[in-house]
Amino acid sequence: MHGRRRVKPSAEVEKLRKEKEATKIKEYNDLVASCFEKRDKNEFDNDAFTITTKILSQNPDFYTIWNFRRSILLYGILKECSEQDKQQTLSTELGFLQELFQLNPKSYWIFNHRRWCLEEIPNPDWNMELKLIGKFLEMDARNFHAWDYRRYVTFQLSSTTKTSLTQTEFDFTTTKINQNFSNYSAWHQRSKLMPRLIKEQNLDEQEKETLVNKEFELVKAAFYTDPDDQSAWLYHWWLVGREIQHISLLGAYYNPKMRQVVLAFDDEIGMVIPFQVTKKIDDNSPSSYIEGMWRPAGGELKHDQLNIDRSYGFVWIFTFFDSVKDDFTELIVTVKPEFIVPSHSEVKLTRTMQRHCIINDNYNLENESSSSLSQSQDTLPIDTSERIKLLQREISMVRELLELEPDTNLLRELKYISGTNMEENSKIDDEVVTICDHLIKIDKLRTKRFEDLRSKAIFESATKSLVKLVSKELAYNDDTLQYQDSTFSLESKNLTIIPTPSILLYITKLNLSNNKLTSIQFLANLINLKEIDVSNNCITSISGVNRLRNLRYLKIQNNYIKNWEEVKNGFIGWQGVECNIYISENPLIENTNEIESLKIGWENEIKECGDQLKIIWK
Amino acid sequence: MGILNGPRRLEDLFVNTDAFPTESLSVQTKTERSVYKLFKAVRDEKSLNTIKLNRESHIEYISDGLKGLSKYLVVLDASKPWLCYWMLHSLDLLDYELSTGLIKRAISTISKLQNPTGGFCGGPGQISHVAVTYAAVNALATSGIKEAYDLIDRENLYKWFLKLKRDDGSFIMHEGGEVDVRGAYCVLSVATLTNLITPELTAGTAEWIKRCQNYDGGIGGVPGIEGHGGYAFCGLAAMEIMGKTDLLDIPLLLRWASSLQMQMEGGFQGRPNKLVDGCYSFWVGALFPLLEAILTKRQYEKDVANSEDTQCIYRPLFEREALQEYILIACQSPKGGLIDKPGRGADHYHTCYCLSGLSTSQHHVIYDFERAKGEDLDSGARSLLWEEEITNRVVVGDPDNLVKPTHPIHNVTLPNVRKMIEHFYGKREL
Repeated sequence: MHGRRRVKPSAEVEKLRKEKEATKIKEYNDLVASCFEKRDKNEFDNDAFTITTKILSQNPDFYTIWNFRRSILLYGILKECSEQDKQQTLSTELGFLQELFQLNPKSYWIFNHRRWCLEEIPNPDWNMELKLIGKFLEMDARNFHAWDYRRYVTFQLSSTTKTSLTQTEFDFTTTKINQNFSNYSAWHQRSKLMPRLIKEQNLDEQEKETLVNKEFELVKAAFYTDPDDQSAWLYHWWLVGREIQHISLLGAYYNPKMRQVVLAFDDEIGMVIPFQVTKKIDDNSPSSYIEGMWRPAGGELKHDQLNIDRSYGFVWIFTFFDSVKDDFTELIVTVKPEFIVPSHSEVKLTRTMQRHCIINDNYNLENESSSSLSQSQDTLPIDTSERIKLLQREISMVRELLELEPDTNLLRELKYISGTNMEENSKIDDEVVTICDHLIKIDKLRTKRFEDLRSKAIFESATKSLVKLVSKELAYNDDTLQYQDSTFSLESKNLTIIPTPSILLYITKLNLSNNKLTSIQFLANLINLKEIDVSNNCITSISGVNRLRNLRYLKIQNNYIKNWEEVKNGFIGWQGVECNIYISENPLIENTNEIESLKIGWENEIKECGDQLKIIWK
Repeated sequence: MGILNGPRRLEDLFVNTDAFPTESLSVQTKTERSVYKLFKAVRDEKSLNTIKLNRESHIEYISDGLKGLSKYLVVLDASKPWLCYWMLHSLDLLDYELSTGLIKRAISTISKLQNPTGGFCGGPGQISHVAVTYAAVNALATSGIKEAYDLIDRENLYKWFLKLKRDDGSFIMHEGGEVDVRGAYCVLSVATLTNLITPELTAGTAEWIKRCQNYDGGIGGVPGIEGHGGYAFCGLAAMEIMGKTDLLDIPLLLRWASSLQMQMEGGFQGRPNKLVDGCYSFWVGALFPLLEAILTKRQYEKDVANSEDTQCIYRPLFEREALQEYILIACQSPKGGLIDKPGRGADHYHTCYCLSGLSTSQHHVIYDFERAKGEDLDSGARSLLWEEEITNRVVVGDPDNLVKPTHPIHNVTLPNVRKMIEHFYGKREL
């Protein structure tokens, strides 16, 4: 119609058109009626067959007619006919479908009927099917019905000929991508073929590397042509792969004074089934269960041991019941992945999580872990060191692109790739920080996200050395703690979050002043804290400290605490002893009414539960 | 914020045309230009605040359709309940009061399409089909009257559903038909509305749907095939019905879904590097209320368990205004009805899904966890917990453009979902 002027049809023409249309509809309805009549009488004859042909040519979506047509073929036309005739009839049928395809390339029903024909035909010509579907994908390279059908055909063809088609199919996707690199259907198909190719062809390391490198070259060619292209980036993302993040147990110890077992994880976890705690009295005796209760360090004590109710925490505490005797030489805690809910679904629980931590009479921790990386069909089969090499190369590639096109979203990808690196690599952390600094400036809509990301990198980099220490240092008992102070500082780093507080578990004096923290709820995990400095942050309320039994100093000056309620909630059910709280330079202090509420509230509501608490606001 | 008042000039939103001209790029550029022309006119006239949803002309378009369809729609002869549903639901969204005569006619048409062996079919004498059954039940739900609900033969419907189920947990679309994730969604949505969900019906289905999710987060029609907006909706909604969304990688699905909103057009594409299409306003758009509820739920459970007192409700995770701009400026046919993209003609399918998408972007429909109280509710009760967060409405253009809120799982307006569920489950407190 383009470029042609439309003339409004005259009344005469319109009338004729309507009449013609009415005749057509009547013809069609008559056909359907006679077809159903035949069906109801079970007349599976040639007449019926011809009628279905007529109907389906007009309406290939008429699934009931397709079903009837199959019945006609099965119980009428093909019944008791020779193999040769059967072959002939079904070949004609395939020809009919091919005609219909021309007008309806996305019909579920035509594909469905075609599969049926090929399963019935004595000698299916799968090679011809493959050619046909190739033509289809020339007409529309994104037709997912056709891609699905292609997978079906290649499966059938390779099972009949007992030869693998992985290489030819792989080459087919290459052709499609060369025709149009924005063809995500082809990239997607490639992600399915690539792992199979490597496996089937039994490539050695050198060959595998060559293949993988060629793959990166291909995808790179697409980026350099159009750095905004979605398809290539998605495939690149797959190619680079994502490490499965495992939850690990950072450490565990027994505190004889409190009669508690403490476990520290590197993610906030929920407990579905309580971990079993058993003891051994001597080497020869069998182990027996210990009764007690689990709770997250910051959470409520649950009265029913079985009802953990999905509490979450980085640090979990098991308190013995009073009846338990201290007569053991060894404690065994069994932690299985199925007992745990990770805090977010990006973390996968795999068998690697399965650990038994044994705490023997020296309260030392031993880990028995099986660390085999599970390799799924959907990832590129390469090992960790290869992946690290690959990541480093890709990072420099993205960096190069970034200079070419500073205004694109590629920066985000670099962040992502860096994030996947398992090796603690401070160079990468530094780079992430630099990039985030830059992103915070140019992408105002995502400032918070990049600030959190940067905090994560800074924190991980700074606490790297602590991770090993955790398990070592945790092997203390409560008495030594009284004399050994460990200090840690992360001041003036612009931190907005503390991603893994459990790493700081053994720290007694912590300095997080001059950051941009908004909450101190994470402190609930740090049960050994004596002094915490969070002055000069953006904290709006006091929380997470009411169970910190050893806390002596809480420095929270110059934050955003506006009223008495925000102070009060932090001290409900206070379990600590003597503690000084410094809250000067908060908005609360500048408001005389609020100071008054604070004074009265403190006297009446807090003093009762913790008479050794001292608040300093000047 | 939207596109027209967004942080970047319209002219900066074109894809890079210096790049090597592939087929995908050239059709994309063409589409962008056609949308740009319409957006630019609105920007230059500063008429965004007065842009109107042409309610009357859409109602007229649908009413004309109800009178009779032309021969070009012969392919829909096997989909009569679909037409009924698209038209009735569109009218319902537009807050057009359905006349008793019209409702009676719809019920009478649909009642003739129910087979004694269970399920509904596309036209007289045809065999039952899962998608058609979904459309029929949604149309009956939209009619909002008891007489309509009662005509559903639940006993045989259930038996028929079980006949369509395969050992791997998936469903075929009809006897002798194909398998894909639409089957699972249609069966489960209908079974939820009519109180037919049983462990027998859902066994293995969630595990099968999980296999349809790809490395990029998208959900395809069957395991191994690339992700697609329509199938992703079916997969996620089915998982939500079964309470099994934990089996999916939700952040990854969110990332994928977000990448489908177009930077210039504001509407959604159905797959990466494809063109915008008005119908994905619902198929992709409705993924967001579901994703927001799942994320809110995770946060909520965590907070409750830790006795923390945060009121975390995830905000809409897509650009609601941008989507409305696309629908209002680029998808309204001047002759009434809504369309895929500029240059295309209106049809009832696009009218229904553009309006459903408009509803999804105007209203923030959320899941009420407080009322769920962590109890193990059946899927019918859970469907009742979806409600509009009234304080979070966004209406682009004329304030009268507001349409009725639709249910993010069933795509029937909220009051009509409630009526039907209360009918089949009995009155309940929720």
